[in-house]
Amino acid sequence: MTSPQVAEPNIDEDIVVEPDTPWVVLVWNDPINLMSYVTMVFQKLFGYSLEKATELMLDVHNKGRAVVSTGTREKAEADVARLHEHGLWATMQKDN
Amino acid sequence: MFGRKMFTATKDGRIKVNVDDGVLGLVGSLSDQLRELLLVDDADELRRLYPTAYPDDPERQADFHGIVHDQLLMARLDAIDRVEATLHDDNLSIDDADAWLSTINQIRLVLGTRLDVGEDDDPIIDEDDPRAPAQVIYQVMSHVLEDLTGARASLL
Repeated sequence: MTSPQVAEPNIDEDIVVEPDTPWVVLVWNDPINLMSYVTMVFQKLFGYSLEKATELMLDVHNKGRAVVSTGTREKAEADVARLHEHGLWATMQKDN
Repeated sequence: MFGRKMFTATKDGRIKVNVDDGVLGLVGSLSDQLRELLLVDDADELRRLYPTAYPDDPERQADFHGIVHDQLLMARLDAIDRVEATLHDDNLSIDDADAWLSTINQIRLVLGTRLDVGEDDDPIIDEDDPRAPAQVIYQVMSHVLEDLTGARASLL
């Protein structure tokens, strides 16, 4: 991800994945999407707080990917489709 | 050009537009070009707009693509129509702003793909580079998106 002249807050915490959910939705780092835009999309689509959304965005940016939602395959597909609609690089897989 | 905010959230939940005519003209013409490109089914420059949901499962990916592709295309064409209809409005509703965000982000994804933008690219543009005009347009769209994102985020 990228950012035009925006300082990065120094937040780095692991996200929590609920153990019993069979599918995870991943968002992957890409060099084009703006950090502020990605954060705003996480807030808008999933109702995350600014703090949580920023944490997930920084995980994507620094670690290359982050789990942004979990659930049934149907829910995961719907989330992936909404992320794609917003131009984010999202995939889904069974939780290991 | 970027000394002042191009978009400002207002108390009544709308977004005030204060964008140069030149930049608005650019948004309009790039939106029109995006529409043309979206209708070319196999344009490689669109690959970031339709990522693979199931990288390890071609069968499920084919099903997903079959269901989602046309829905995304229709939503994107609708967003472009809304941008064009509101291009010279003084202020935008949240739905208008979301259409602008969607369209401008797609324009950046296509331009960035075309320019093969990388994570550590030098933001300084070399005027002698044949890609310089496209790089300038990409940076202008980045500023527009950054500013609009800020205004939209304050209305979440």
